[in-house]
Amino acid sequence: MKEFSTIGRTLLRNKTAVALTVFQVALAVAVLINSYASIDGYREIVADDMGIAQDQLITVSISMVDAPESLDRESISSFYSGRVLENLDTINTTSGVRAASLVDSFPMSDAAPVRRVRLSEDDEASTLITMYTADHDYLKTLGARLFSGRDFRRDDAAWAIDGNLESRSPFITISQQLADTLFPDEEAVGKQVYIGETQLTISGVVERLPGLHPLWNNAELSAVVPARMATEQMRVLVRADAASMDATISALEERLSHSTGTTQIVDVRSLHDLKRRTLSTASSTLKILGFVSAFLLLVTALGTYGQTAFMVTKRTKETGIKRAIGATRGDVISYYLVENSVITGIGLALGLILAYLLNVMLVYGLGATKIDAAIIIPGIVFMWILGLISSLLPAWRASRIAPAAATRMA
Amino acid sequence: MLASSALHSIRQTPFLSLLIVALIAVGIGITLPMLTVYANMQDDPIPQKSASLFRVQLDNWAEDRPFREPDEPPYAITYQDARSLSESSIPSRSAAMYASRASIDPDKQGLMPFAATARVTDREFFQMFEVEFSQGNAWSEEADLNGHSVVVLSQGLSDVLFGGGDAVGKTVRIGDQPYSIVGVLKSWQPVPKFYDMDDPFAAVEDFFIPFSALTDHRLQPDYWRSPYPVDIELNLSTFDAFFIGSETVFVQYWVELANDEQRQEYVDFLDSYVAQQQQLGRFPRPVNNRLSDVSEWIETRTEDSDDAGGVTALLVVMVLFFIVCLLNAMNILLTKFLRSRPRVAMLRCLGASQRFVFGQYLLEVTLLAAAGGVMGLALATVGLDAAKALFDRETTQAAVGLAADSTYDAFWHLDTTMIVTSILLALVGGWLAGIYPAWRVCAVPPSTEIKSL
Repeated sequence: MKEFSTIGRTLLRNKTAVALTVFQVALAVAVLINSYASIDGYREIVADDMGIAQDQLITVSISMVDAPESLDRESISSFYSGRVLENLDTINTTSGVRAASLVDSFPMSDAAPVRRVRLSEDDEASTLITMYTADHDYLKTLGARLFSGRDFRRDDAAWAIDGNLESRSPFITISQQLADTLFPDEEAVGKQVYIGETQLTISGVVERLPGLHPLWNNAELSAVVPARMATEQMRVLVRADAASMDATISALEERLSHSTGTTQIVDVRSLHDLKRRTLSTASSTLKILGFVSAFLLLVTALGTYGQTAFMVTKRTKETGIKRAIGATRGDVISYYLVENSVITGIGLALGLILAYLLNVMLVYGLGATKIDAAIIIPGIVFMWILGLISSLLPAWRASRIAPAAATRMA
Repeated sequence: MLASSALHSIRQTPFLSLLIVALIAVGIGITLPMLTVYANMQDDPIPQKSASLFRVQLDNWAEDRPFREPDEPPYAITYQDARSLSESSIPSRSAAMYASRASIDPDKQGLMPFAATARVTDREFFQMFEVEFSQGNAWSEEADLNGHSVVVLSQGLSDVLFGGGDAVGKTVRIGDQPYSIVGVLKSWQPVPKFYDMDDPFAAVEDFFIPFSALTDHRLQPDYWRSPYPVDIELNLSTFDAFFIGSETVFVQYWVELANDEQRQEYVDFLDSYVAQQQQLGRFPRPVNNRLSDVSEWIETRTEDSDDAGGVTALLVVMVLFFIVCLLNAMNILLTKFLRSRPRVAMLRCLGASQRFVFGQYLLEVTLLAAAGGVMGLALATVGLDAAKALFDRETTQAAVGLAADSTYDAFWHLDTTMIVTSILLALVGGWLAGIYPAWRVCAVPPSTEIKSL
């Protein structure tokens, strides 16, 4: 290829202009690959239903304002459990409600207990999980599929007034992913685990169980322990008909606010709403990133266009001579396109290193998605094509330079 | 002469000139909003007193590990320490406080009970942080001592409950207790919310009640941490054991110290207090007290905030974007200036000095950059709205359907500093991009160029 040695010399002679474009392409590809990876990763997470019937779920939070007279455990328990049963009854008799489960916190709400699980009481290693407390209707309401073992029974779920596990039934249902983490290649059902100092027996494994935050690394390392919470903050997960979600939400709001004779604050919203709120910072960050990326593409394309146009203008005479001594129009176009590809190529190579550096920072700062070959290769091909398209117009203009132009300039 | 020559040069290549303006404008328009957020996050919201207000930190953490690496004391202190420190007469003012939430049962037609945010604190909070009242005043010293059920409302909550009318003297039900209203604040929203900083962009609390609400009404702190694994579970019956006599930290403690002397005296006081407690078997770690003024405190807390990580990452991306824009502008300037080589050659032959040519092109770049800066400012106001969405917090007023506080919105507008910054950024950027091309073109030897005309 004689062309390459010519191009090499040309590029060396125009170091500044070439370097400018190379850096532009490098920075652009670094930012673009990272933005794309983050936005793509985020989209996937939002679309994922994590194995539950997320289109049919409603969250009900009720804060009870008045407090029991006496503060011993029994009084607290009987005071709140009475109210809880009353409210549960109201919920279950509301039209549109198919199932309801008393819980301590909601999936993907960014507010649920995180605990450490150990395989023995004095195990150094531990796994961080989201641990829900719920009654025996939880899996049914959630729509999670039991993989092995059994569901909680009604008498597993005793009344509790706090997170203390000691006095509860010693069972735990875990997600498949947690089972694989704790007992790789073994049947998990029937095995013992420790949370704090309490020993629990794994009674069931569900296919998938969402954790407290969809963007958390351990998002699917979750478990449920059985109990019915009798506290001033009552939370109920409700399964309703997908078609009548809005009607059910307002019906629940209306009936719960007026049902009991006492004051209570009621907050009813769809699980989708809750998930959106959990992800709101991440989603606006990514919107801004997407917006910047679009502009960046435009600016980079413009830059490549400008670069080629500059080269063409500078070498009007040279191109004229080439044409005069027999180069076809196609030769001229392909020459400029190849030249552009070389410049873009250097930029892309440099950009790859930058992309990795930037990724490390973004993963740290934003919890962004890690980049891999599946994103990098299409990204590079895309940028290369973008470069070719942007330089097409000036290259075509160069091909229109008349051979006579060479003679007119001294 | 220089100016008309520069303007002539701009007119000669209108498309390329416009492109340069647009590039700088887009660069500024995108970078500036994030820069504003970043700057505001570290802003000093109470400059007149920031050097005399101090946040107190004591290190009562576990022997074998610090609260946070490398050797940070916990952000808050325990109830028992807060009570002991309040005995000291060294500070001119002091206040213990924590954030909480409680339900409000409005005695008003069509308004359902709703949850509101609370600040449980001492009366000196208001004077210390120079909070102004629109009605009434802070509660009395006697209310602090004897734990009266009195409350100061925010302007927003007062509007919700009383529609802007008289509130002082009336009663409001908070939780299951009646509280009598002694004051209503003027709208107030320091950003960042320096006295707390658990969320720098959080709205100021809806109401303020005396610190005794902790023991009298068991108002649970939003934030608490314990140095040891907690062997009791938090519920109403364990509340006192959990918060009152324990090593659980949750009290934010601020003091006002008028001068360096007072400050030194207070430092000594803290040291001797901790030493004395160590004798009693508390504070297993070496003495590690901190007294941070407002800006030091903000810095401590922004270092590890989630928002700061996100904003910094975005800021880096945007600065890279601005650099790409400048590289691009430089490229176009090279093209533009080199196209005008014949004109330069002509000018030089007619006696223009190299300095004149250089000056002319630099002036041209300056004009283009300034135009880009102004346009960028317009774009930035749009971008700032987008950035605002990043930190939108659900406020109580919004929850009951009332417009948010206007002072909060003021934070999201460009101020003079940012306007100046944007113009400076545009000019410096323009010069960085323009000096080399200008130098290249004025170095053209006139003789070779003139031959090709």
